[in-house]
Amino acid sequence: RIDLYKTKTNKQDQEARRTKLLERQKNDREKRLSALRNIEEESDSPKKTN
Amino acid sequence: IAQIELPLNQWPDLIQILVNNCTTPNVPDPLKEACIEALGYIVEDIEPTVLIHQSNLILTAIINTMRKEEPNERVRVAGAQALFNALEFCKDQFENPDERNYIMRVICESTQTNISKLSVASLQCLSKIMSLYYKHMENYMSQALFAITLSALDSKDDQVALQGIEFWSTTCEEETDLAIEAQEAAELGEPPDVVSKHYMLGALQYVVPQLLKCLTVQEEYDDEDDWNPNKAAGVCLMLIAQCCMDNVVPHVIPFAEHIGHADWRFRDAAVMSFGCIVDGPDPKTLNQPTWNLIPHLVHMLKTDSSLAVRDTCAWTLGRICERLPQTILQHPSVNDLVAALLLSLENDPRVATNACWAFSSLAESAYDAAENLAGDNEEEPQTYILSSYYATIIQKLLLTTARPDANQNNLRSAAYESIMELLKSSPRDCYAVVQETTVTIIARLEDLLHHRQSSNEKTSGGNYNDLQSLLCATLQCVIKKMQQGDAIQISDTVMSAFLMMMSSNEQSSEVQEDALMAVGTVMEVTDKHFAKYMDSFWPYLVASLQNHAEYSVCAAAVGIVGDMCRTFGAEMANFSDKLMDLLVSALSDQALHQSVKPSILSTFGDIAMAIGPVYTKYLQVVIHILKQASEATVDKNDYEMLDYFNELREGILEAYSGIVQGLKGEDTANNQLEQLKPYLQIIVQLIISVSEDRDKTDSLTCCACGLIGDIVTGYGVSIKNFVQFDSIADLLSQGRRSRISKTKSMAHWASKEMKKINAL
Repeated sequence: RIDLYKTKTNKQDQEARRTKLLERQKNDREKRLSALRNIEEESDSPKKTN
Repeated sequence: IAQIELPLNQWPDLIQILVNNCTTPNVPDPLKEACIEALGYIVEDIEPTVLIHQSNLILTAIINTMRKEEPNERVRVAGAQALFNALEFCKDQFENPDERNYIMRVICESTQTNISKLSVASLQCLSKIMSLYYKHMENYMSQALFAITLSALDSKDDQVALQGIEFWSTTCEEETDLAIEAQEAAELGEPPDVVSKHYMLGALQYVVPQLLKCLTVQEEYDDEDDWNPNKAAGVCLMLIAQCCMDNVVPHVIPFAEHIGHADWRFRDAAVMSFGCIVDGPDPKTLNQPTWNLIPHLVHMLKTDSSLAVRDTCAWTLGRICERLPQTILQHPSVNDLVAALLLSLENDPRVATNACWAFSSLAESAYDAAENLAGDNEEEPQTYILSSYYATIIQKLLLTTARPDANQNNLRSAAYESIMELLKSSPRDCYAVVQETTVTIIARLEDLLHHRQSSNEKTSGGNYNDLQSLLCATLQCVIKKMQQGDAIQISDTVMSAFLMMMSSNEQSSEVQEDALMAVGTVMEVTDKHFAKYMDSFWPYLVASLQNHAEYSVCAAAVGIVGDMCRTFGAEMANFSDKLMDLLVSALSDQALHQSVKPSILSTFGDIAMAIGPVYTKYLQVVIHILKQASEATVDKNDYEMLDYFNELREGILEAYSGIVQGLKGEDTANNQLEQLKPYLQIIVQLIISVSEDRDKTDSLTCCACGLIGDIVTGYGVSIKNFVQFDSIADLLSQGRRSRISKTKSMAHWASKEMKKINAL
């Protein structure tokens, strides 16, 4: 519990960087697959309009 | 020895001998104590199934030594400590009301002693029982536990008080988990396994005042590693805020209003109490009290005579910035807050560290607010509330990293982390500062690397490595923020620094991993321009993929291979023979940490998508590996293994999808999908097995739906009969019902493609 005392999560430590990078890579892979599948992914936010 | 021999049934009479020594009259006390201690150690580590048939015997012996009739104090203490370890064995006994009553009576009696160690060990048992057997506690809470733990909270003996607090912290954790489980069960339309009795809510009015009292008993010269009732009370209050949410607020606010007390201990406790409840209650409930407190907190951060109070103010303001961004950003004191935080960066390291964290939260909240204001039309906001201070904040943070005392209280790292957050969360009008910061960070990294080369100093290795990692991570942030043209301009310098970081033989794996991750970012931003670095980067990539001992380095290198596939496309064929070789070797190495293996499988798919039909040369080997991986089984009661199993299957499915897409290719004349046809049954079998798996993740469902779609669009009507299974239809329907939009759209797409071939 001592780790909870008066600390804030160190968001940017190596573990967090690693997770972020993995997420980015997974995202890139999915984007590439999506492009090949020719489907448009639905996003969680409302679609952007030009 | 027992850990080794008991599971092999090679010491069958051991437990009986130990138990006899604990229960037979006239056994000398030291022998009794040693036997009970030995029993405690054995049950602590042994696989429970080994001793399950002797659990009654063990428990009877342990409880026997704890009773108040036992004259020897040391034996009773050893008994209570052994019981703590044995509690997980007591499932059956806790199901039986008579046995449960007896165990609880002995423990409760043991808490009521003036032998401090016995009281502490017995209270520890109560906390663990609360966590393990919550559902059976109803009768004991009102009759005994409530009074026992409240009295412990008030004890003058710190060790006893700590256990009293621990009991309520554990209760909070249990009830917070139960609330989450109840919500999940409700979403599934099922009743929860265990229902929360809201003991914490009922005890708020008694427990919170005691905790607030503990908050006023600070150590004058606090050692940050010491654990005492003051700190435990702070943590307990944070857990209560998360468990009881809005209900905690009226119990704390009147106390927090003593912020102007003459005694620093009360001022500190008042600020601390508010900081503790910032996370949990609805921000709307906290808005008004926070609004009122902010000017006082800012003023105290600047002027309070007590270091402890300034430290707590900085921490509390940081939490407000993080949890209640709307309140702080709209407050007229926000300018004063920035000024006070800037001033605090020059304060004692513990205050400065909290100021760094406050800046991180403030920057993130300010950026989010600006993004929301800009709506959907802008990728990056033009400006935000911190823009006019931005250059000063960055400059002060850079100075903070270089403070001679920055190694204290994690200050250097906190300052760099804060710089990273400010860089990431910066609007367009701060871009010039981002550029300047890049130059500074590159210069610092080069300076550090050259200094390392010229001096043979090895003693400060840890600090040196940490600094390299921090600079590397900061550079990653700026590169990601840069416009491509600017990134290309600095990429030569940056890459040579990263290569130098990787080149040192004595380099720590953390630094190598950070350097590889940074290289991945350079590749992401510079795209095809990265090709010019491939000759010099290649040997490091190969070495990293072969570094199976430092698996995080290997994992980062596997990620880079995936990035290369997406960056170089068909040109990846120049590298793929060697890379496939290295990836297959890594997979077949039993010594390589299993966490790397799923991403290697996915990377097989990335390579196929990049090089297209040329991939047929690897097909046989890869299919053999994927088939083997599909046959893996795990103990599904082991949650970690279950997670791994799902990740592994995701890797396999991603590999197949990549292969189908790759072999299909862009040129229909060169379509090589026929080569995969003999293996279709294996692939479909895996999809069926995934479909029927109740423990699959949503992400796995998504991948499986994607693969069905790939197969159907790739082969068309010719494989119609291969995919006509109820399980496949079920999977698609599960995907369509998913709450995750990505899975939903994937399942809809695959279902649509399936309908097309069914119509033919």
